[in-house]
Amino acid sequence: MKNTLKILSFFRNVVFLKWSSQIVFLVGLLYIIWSYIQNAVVNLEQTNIAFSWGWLGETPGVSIAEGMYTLPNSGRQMLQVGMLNMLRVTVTGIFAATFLGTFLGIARLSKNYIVEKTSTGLLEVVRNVPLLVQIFFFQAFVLTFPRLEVFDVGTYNFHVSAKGIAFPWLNRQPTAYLFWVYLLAILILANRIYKWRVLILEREGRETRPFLWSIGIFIGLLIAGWYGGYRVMGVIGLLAGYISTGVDLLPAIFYQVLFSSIAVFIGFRSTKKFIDSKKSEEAQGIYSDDDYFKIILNVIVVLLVVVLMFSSVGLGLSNFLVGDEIVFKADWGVPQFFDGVNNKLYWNPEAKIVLDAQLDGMKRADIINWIAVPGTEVTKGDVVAIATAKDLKGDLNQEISIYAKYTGVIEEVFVSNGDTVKVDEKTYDIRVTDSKPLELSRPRVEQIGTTSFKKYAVGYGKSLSVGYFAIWLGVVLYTAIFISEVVRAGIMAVSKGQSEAGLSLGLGRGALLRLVVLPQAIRVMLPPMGNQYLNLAKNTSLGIAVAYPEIVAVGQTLYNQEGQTLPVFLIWMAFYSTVSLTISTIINYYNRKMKIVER
Amino acid sequence: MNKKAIVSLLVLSMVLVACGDTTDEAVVEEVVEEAALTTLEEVQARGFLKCGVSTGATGFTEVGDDGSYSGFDVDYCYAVAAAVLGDYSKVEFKQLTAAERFTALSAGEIDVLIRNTTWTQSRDTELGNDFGPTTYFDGQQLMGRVSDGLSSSSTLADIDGLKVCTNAGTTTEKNITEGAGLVGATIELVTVEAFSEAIDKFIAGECDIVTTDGSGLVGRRAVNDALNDWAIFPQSPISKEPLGPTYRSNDSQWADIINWTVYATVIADEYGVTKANIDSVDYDANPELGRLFGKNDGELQTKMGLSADAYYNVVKQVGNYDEIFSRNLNPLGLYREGGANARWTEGGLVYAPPAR
Repeated sequence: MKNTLKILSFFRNVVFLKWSSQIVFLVGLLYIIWSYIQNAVVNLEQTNIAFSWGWLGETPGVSIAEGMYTLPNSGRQMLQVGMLNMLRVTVTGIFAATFLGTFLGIARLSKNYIVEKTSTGLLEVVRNVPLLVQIFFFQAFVLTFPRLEVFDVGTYNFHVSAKGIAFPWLNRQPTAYLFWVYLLAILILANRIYKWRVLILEREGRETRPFLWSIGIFIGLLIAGWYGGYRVMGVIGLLAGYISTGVDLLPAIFYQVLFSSIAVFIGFRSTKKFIDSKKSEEAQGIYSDDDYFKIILNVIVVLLVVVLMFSSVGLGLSNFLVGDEIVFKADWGVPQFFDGVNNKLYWNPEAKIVLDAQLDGMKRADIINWIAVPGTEVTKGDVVAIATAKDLKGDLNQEISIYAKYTGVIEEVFVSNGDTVKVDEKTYDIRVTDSKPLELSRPRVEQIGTTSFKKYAVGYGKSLSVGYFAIWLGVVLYTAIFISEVVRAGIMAVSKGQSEAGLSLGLGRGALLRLVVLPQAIRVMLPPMGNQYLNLAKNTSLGIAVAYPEIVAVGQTLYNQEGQTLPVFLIWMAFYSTVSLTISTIINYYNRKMKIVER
Repeated sequence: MNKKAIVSLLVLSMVLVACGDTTDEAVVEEVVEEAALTTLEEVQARGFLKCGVSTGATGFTEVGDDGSYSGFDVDYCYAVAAAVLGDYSKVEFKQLTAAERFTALSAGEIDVLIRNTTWTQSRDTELGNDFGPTTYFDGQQLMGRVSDGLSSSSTLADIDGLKVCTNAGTTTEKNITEGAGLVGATIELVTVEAFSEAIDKFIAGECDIVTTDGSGLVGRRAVNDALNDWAIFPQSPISKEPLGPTYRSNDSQWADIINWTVYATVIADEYGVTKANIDSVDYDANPELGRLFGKNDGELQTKMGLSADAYYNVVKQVGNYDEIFSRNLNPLGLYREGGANARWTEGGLVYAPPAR
């Protein structure tokens, strides 16, 4: 046998084959995607259907039943309302379903025969009936109640009619946002104090009563805050105001450069970390082909991001963030966001008094007499001024009263006797201090103008429309049932030996549940729980069947009026993906925290 | 060759391939054009017509207990089938909501949409569809209860602050929003998928007012026996709603066929030719009818791609405009006389070009 050095032809080289097959596959995949997009574009052109995004800035000319803007001035705003409506149901629904589901799950494990059988019965019924049917059932149920017009005008403790459901509620006053932030702050503080006291307990061995300390401080600060102390959070609003004016000066190119540099930085850092890890003991500086590929892919992705940022997509995104009014009719960009924070969290936010008395054809009111004087306290519903009502031509000379919308002490009034107020704006400014952040109020049925129709008064208690009630209850009950099964499974998954060991140590049943069973059960419960939340978020799309204007209903109206089906579908996909990914990220975060820590 | 050289060569080749993709466009386009059949050829090959109708519009599309269809729009579907296929019963109906009707047409799920659809500028130009002649001249009105203080002399200003129900994705939505805005009224607009849901909400009391085309309101009122309980206002409608058939753009042959089916029924009505007396028409005294019904040489129809007796079949099997109208809409209380739907010789707008 000759000892010749045979040089392998290049197509028999293992390295070449590995690389080429990967690259050929990648090119093939890109080609398929590219040809599908081309196909769609060509077909769209042939059928004369336009595919554009201009309708986002045009006025759709329709109004929406409920939401932030009932008369949206652009397609974008209309979609925004739909998204917010969907999020209203999703966020409140997730919390409600979790509470209800946990309660039902534990009820099913109860030793009480009646409790166990009732919850099992409920579970079987709700689980086996399709969700859409249940939603229709709730809608039909509310619609069987008599018309609101047959009831008298007045205040009720609880009211149901064909126009919806109304119940007492803690209504937000202008300073409510400040209070929420304050509450969050003292909760975090109480949590920290608890952990600190536990630390001392473990280190020094003496009794430090961590629970009592944290609860005591929480309640103390809460009481101090309720009577005005919460306004200290207003400093956040102040800061936001400064940030807003600062950010307003930034041009669009700033965001493009910012995102590009972030991408480059992250890419650089991850590549460096990767290379450094290769220099460690185990790797010994040997690079496999996969490693090369990872590095190259990293570089390509960073380049793509930079190119994207400086293309029209990136420019559009930056314009959106800057709050470009021309392109998007936007009232939402980074400066506007901080401005909003400033408004809501200012230590002394402006309150509005409502022009509550309305006459047919009234367009203006000339103030004759301001009754409420600065420094005095007004309650919601008090008369603050007398005015003369005028219509467009100025003829309608009738005296009306103007009522306060919020309870509090009037600090400053910006309108005085003799001024004219436009009824279209329906509110005008005074500053109210010392108002409580939340006020318990009962629902009220009131007449609509001078007609014989009635409605639930806004701002008194909480009233749910038929559509909102149907979708909310349907989705919450359905998801709660599945969550109850998850909870039950989680608790049953903790081995019996744990409970026996805990009991033998002398732990009471409550302590056993809290310290031994639940921590282990939660670890098992979290992944399926996240699944149920995602289901809830997606099931809200059934709101269209009960005329609730969430994103699917609103999007459908839009694409029928504008003829732009494909863009709306893309927006739907992007929105639902974002919501679902956000929920999963939050659940995954808790999942990671709960993981068994290995030694 | 060492690894690094191989790698860099491969990356370079990948980049070059990605840049050279421009030749594929032409290939794709060619293939698409070759395969397209005209709508007429498709329908004739298939053997039946796919017609888009409403999910339920009293007088226009109604489904009986045995699953049979009847109504003004349904009759025009039958008429097109009679013209194209010679047999009026060769129709497959597809019930569509207001939200999905245009997408169904553009996607090719139906051949023609006869679904009390309003002809508007935006729909004509932006959706890739074209409209046929108006078969019913309608207008948008509102309906409320007499017991709530509304009457036929109420106006838009009376609905300030009220809850109004209507269909989603219709001209109705836009008109009521605009109309209310002009008179300074604010309304809560609840939109539903099918109009029957809106009527259910109105009956239950969730909505104070319903609004849609006047013909729809009259129909629903008749069906619910509420002639004295529900008032339709304002007297003169708040908008023009010309209803007619819709078909895809860029298919002139199919467009002509649909258009002339409608005109044929109108011309027959002008001459007083009905299902009953069509066989006793004197074609020498009325040469236009001879040309229309293909009795003399039948050229007009065959040049369009139809059989010579296409329009004879339409009138014989379905009827003329007056028969279609009175059969479906008179029982609801809608009459031709004195309105826009009367003959042009009697002050109405129903007029057809001559068959010559």
